[in-house]
Amino acid sequence: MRSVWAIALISLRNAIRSRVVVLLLAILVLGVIGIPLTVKSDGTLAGYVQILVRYTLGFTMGVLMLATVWAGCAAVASEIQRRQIHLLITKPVSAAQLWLGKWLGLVILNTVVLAVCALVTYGLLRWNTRAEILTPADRQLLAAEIIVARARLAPQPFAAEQRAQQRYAALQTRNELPTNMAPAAIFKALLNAVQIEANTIQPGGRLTWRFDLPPGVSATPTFQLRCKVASALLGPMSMTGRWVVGRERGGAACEVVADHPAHGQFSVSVPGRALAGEGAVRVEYHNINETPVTLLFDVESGLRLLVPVGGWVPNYLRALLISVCLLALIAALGITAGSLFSMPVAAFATFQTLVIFNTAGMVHSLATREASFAAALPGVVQPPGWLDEAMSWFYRGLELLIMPMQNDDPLAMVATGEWISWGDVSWTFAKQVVLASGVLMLLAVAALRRRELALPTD
Amino acid sequence: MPVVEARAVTKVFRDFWRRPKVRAVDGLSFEVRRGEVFGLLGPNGSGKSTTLKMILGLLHPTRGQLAVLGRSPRDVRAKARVGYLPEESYLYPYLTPDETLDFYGRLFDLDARERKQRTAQLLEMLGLQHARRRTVGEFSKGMARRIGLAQALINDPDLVVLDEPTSGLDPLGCRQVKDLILTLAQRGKTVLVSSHQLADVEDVCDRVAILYNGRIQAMGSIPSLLEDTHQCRVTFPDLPAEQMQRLVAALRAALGTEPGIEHPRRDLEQFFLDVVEQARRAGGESSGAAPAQGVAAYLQPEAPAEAALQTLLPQIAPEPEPSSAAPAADAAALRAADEKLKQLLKPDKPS
Repeated sequence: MRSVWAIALISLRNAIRSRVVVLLLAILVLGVIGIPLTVKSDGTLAGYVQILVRYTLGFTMGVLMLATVWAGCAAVASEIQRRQIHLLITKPVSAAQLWLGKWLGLVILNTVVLAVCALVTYGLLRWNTRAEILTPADRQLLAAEIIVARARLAPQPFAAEQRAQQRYAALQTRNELPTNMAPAAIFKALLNAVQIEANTIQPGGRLTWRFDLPPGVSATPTFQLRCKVASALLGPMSMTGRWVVGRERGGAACEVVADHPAHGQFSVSVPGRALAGEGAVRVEYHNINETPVTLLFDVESGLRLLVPVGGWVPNYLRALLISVCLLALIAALGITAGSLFSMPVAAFATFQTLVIFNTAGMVHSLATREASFAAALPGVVQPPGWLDEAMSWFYRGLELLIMPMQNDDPLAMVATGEWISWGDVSWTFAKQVVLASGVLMLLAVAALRRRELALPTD
Repeated sequence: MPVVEARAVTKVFRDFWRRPKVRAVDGLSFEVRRGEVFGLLGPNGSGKSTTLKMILGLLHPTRGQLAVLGRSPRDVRAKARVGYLPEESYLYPYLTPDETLDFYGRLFDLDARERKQRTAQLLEMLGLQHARRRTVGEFSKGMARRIGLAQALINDPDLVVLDEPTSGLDPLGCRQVKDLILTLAQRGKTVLVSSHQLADVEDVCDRVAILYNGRIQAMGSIPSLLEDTHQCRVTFPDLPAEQMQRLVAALRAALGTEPGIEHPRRDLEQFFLDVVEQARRAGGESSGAAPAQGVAAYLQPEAPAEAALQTLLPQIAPEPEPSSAAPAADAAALRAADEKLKQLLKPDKPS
């Protein structure tokens, strides 16, 4: 372990001495100071907190990712180029120790820089939201809705698949299944129809959801319902709805009548007393809009219950830990690329990989769509079927690799007061640090063992 | 067991498409025995550096077998017992000598106390104590070379691989390095030297291999390779002309041919060292490497301060084995030559 630490400290010093890294860190300092001063929020306290936390730390993460890619690739590739590795690899240092030392150095650098930036950001937040400069209402808003950590709860799932199967069976019995469609496609269409029906409210209608509360929900003056909706009417439009919220056993239901946009996302505050009692929380929405409008709650993220479950500072810390995990993964990617390729190629390969990771949505759609890849290009000569099949397998494989590594943005979550659990941190650590970085380490170790480090061309 | 054993080692460098491009080493076979100073000589491109790099695990043989201390050159257990001085300075330029030696000491898992002691001793030995706070990047080539040598010795290695060890060093430094090599050999350490400085190799090496085009062209002990057994040289104080004439006449009569007579010349290296030593005694100061301060205690044959280490030495570095057949044969040849010389110089019996 002594040699791993020695290599870690040297790679830390190497990174600090890199002109590219120093330039990026200088930009980082300017950004951390400049962003809160120059970017204007929407004038609300919540907007200001979002700007400060999400944009400042998001910028920090962006710069650190760039610096990490560069320093990670250079950690091995430049040492090979400068032949300093001759003196390292002729010592009793295994390829795994070498990789681990380099990686540890970069993780330490990233952790320290991110911690400093996070501390500065937190200091600015506390200073600019100190009690003396806020109105009592803003102070209450800050404590109840902004500087909070709220769990985002999804409603109990309803048996959509079961209903779709029942409909499918009914159509089959009546011999009414379309003959020009594959059974899987028919089932998928029925499932979509069931889900849309379950999330649609006709004028004057009512929709009900049930939420199970996790342990540790703290008492709160208010809590929120967050919705994403679409309506049959186009253009910006406001609607009125009545919310009835209460426990299934004991307690008293609270009623809230509120205007909300007819399209997009919005939040509704509900008095905290609605959570008193036992059993699941029952939420009803009554479509009482004066003009008859049919409303559709988004099938994927229609309604969420936001309840406070912890302090903001521990949540901030967990968000930072998840960010460190991501930086550790990028460091692993860079060092492994540097072990496989020489310098400009290594950096290019790492950036390419990150670009692919950031297009996970596109990869997902390419992997899951049934239409042939080539058929999507009208007027183009159809390639052979096997090519189409190969492309499909390629995207499915790529999806398999990158989707498990995807995370919700922890900085966005903490900026909007969304709770991040220790389970989220542990899971991210397990998949990004232990699993993915471990696999990358094995790849690099195999390459370093096989690679001749004193070739005349190096 | 030989410290280094190469059997039919071949190294072929390939191009990007894996096509053979250069055969740098071709069927090389040799052994380096414990306690021996072995020299690899040859012109540029003869395969010396490639051979050293294969011994160090930096390159892999294309064919053949190579063992270092009985293990693969890439085995970390073998590497723990090897010290390496590369031809160029591959040190981190922003580290001071203290930091450099501490770093490489950590790679050998030496504890802090041991690293500190050895660093101080090595810097003193190499005359770099006054520069221990400067960064290596500011050093002259000779000073950087000394630090390179220090890092090669930080682990008290059993096998020291020195690539052009005297390159960039002034004659004082060269002499010191040569003395150090001899000291290491006295302690039973094995030294493998690659050099263009033939005189240096001649001074320190027990055996040499001369490479050309990747093959060994000649290999053996220095005396066996260089000694001309058909001629001999006798050295004696200058004689008055009359006695000299008588001696030459006696030699002429004994040899039946005209002997060559000349005044011996002093070695330029020794002359230079004497001049510098006189200047130093006169009080001259130098901003470069300071004069050598002996040999680091832990590298000396008998280091009083290293009693514990000495206890362990017989286990980790046993005394050199009795000389093998080849050196014994060389000694016998030398004794025979001595006898022959004595016979020739016997005064003629009065008739």
